[in-house]
Order: sequence, then C-alpha cells, then structure tokens
Amino acid sequence: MIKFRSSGITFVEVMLAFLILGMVFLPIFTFLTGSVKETEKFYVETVAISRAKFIMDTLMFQIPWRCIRHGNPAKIDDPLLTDGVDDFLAKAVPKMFGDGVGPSGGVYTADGIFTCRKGFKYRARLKVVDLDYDSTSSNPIVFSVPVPGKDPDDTRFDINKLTSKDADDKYNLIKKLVVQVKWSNSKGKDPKDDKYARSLFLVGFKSNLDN
Amino acid sequence: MMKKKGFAIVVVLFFAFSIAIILFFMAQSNSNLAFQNKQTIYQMQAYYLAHSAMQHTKLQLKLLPKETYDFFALNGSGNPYQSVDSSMYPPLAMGAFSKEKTSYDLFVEGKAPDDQFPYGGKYWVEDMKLHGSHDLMKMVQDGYRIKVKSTIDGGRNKSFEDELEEVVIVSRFTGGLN
Repeated sequence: MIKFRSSGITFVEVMLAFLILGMVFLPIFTFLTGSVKETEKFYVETVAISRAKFIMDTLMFQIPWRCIRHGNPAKIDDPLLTDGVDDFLAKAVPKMFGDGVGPSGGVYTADGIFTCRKGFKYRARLKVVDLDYDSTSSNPIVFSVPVPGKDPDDTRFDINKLTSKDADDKYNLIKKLVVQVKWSNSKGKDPKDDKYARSLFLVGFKSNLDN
Repeated sequence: MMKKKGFAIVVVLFFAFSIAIILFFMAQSNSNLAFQNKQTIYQMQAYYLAHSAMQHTKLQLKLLPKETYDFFALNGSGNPYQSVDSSMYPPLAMGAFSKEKTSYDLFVEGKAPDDQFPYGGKYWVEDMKLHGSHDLMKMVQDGYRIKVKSTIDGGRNKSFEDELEEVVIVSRFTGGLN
C-alpha cells in the first residue's frame, strides 16, 4: 500500500492564504485610492490659491487704480486710453481670469473660466466697490492728522475736499476688491454646476496712488 | 539545529508593522498638506490687508504731507495716523467672522452685498515716525518709517496676523511719493 506524506501545501491552504492576503490588502488599497484622491484635491486647491494670488497681486500692484471699475463682475479698461496700459491689460486680464473676459468694446469683464493641466475647471471673478463715501454720506471716509495747537476740524478732510471726480463721476480714493476663485473637485465639471464646489476669497483695498 | 516554529508570526508582525508605518506617514503627509493650504490662504488674506493698510497710509501721506510733517515738527506725541484704521469706517470695516459670511458668493445673485465681506478682519497703522527731512535744496522731502498691521478672522482657529514696515519719502509741498 502506498502511503502519502502529509507535508506540503494543499490547494485549500493556498486559497486561504490568498483570501487572507486579499482581506489585508483591500483596506490598504482603499486607503491608497482615497489618499491619491485627497492629494489631487490639495493639488486643485493649490492651483486655486496660486491663481487667486496672481490675480490679487496684479490688481493691487500692477494695474492702475483708474482701470479697475465698479461692478460684480468688475469691468477693466483704461478710461484714459493709454496705449501701454491697453497693451498690458490685453495680456494680463485673460491670464488672470481665463476665457470669457472679452474685450467687448475695449472693456474686459473680470469673470472667466480656466482649466488646469489635470483637467479641473475653475471660475475666477472680481467684484469692485467704489468707496465714494464723501461728506454727503452718513459714513464718510475721512483723512485727518491731529496737528498740535490746531482745531481738529481744520485738519480733517472729506474725500470731496481732497480730490476731483474720477472717470465714473465720483469722489473716490479707495476701491474695495473681492476676488473669488471657485472650483470643482470633479474633473472636467464646471464649478457653476457643482453644488459641492469650493471657493476661496481674497479681499484688498486699493488706494489711488496713481498720480 | 535551529527550531523554525514561530517564524511565521515574526514575518507577519514585521509585514504588518511596515504597512502601518507607510500608512501612518501617508495619512500624516496628507493632513500636513491640508493644514499648509489653509495656513497659506489665511496668510495671504492677512498679507493683502497689510498692503491695503500701507496703501491707505501712503494715500493719506500723499494728501496731507504738510499736516503730517507739522505733527512731528510741533512735537506731537503718539501715532499721528490713528485715523488709518479700517474698523473706524463702516465701508472698510470687515468686522468679526459671522455665519452670514460663510454664504458669501460672488457667483450667486444677492449673496455678495456691497457692505458685506467673505471673512472678518481689520488693518491699522501701528507706528509712524519721522525718519528724516531733507530741505537744503529746492525739493523739501520728509522720510517716514511706517509700520502697519493686519489681522483676519475666518472663524475659530482661522485667524492670522501680518505686519509691514516701510520707509516712505514724500515731498512736503507736492505730496509726491518716492
């Protein structure tokens, strides 16, 4: 009679080993997939941060004060029609906001859409509020320095006492800028159509230091 | 001869430990990224408010160069630019963080009123000193060392501060800035 040795690995044992291995790796792969998705989300957010910074830097430090006009979305154009400024706006505004900014009749709309290299879509928009709160306003913005020995009213000035009217026929020296970059974490989806779209905001006050 | 019993458990433990270490560092790296992104946003928000403060200060200096010089020439004490404080003027006052601010959206009509802000914050001139005057030639100029500060309030544990210091030279009678 032939006797079989009981040592070695049976088919059932191999299957069992695979099952255990699979059970161990399943959560690991789930975690890894989630982790890759999370990393992608952070990448998308980083792109949005970088774009918002680029937009705000250009608005605060490069585009002349007079070119940033009131509205939501704001309008961008040069009321003085200076060639150099017009050329600069033609290059800068589409780079800032993406597609859909115009120009229409020489005026750009600060509202555009752009897609990053990974295929995610972003919308960027600028709102500008003219802070033309002069002496006729109940909340005037004043400029004052307390000079010793002088009546405080003599060194306290409303905006309309300090400047002439701007291109929009307003006594204005400071503009409020709000930049919003909105994006979808679903690849290729317009953030406008995504109820889970995320946003980031930057606020700045640009003073008229042009002249 | 060495006994091989119990060898498998050593291998399994080593394997499990290695996987746990990898997963731990991956999770930590992701949470670091999230934290850094958030910090970058708050930092940027404070940074632009600080620059807003500096621009506001330069504007006042440009408009009132003689008055500013007189303050120092007549031995005025304290900060002459206390009026450069965003919280003093309702149109500039961002206030503190509130729940209404979380629904702020430029893309939705009515969700971004002119007097509202997407987050809270303020800016102000912390200190201003006359750095020096140059009046030996035709052009009379004064140099000021200006320090401004800003703070943003995006909710609990979401605040950030920034400050800027610059020396600004202004023509005392024309308000021209350098």
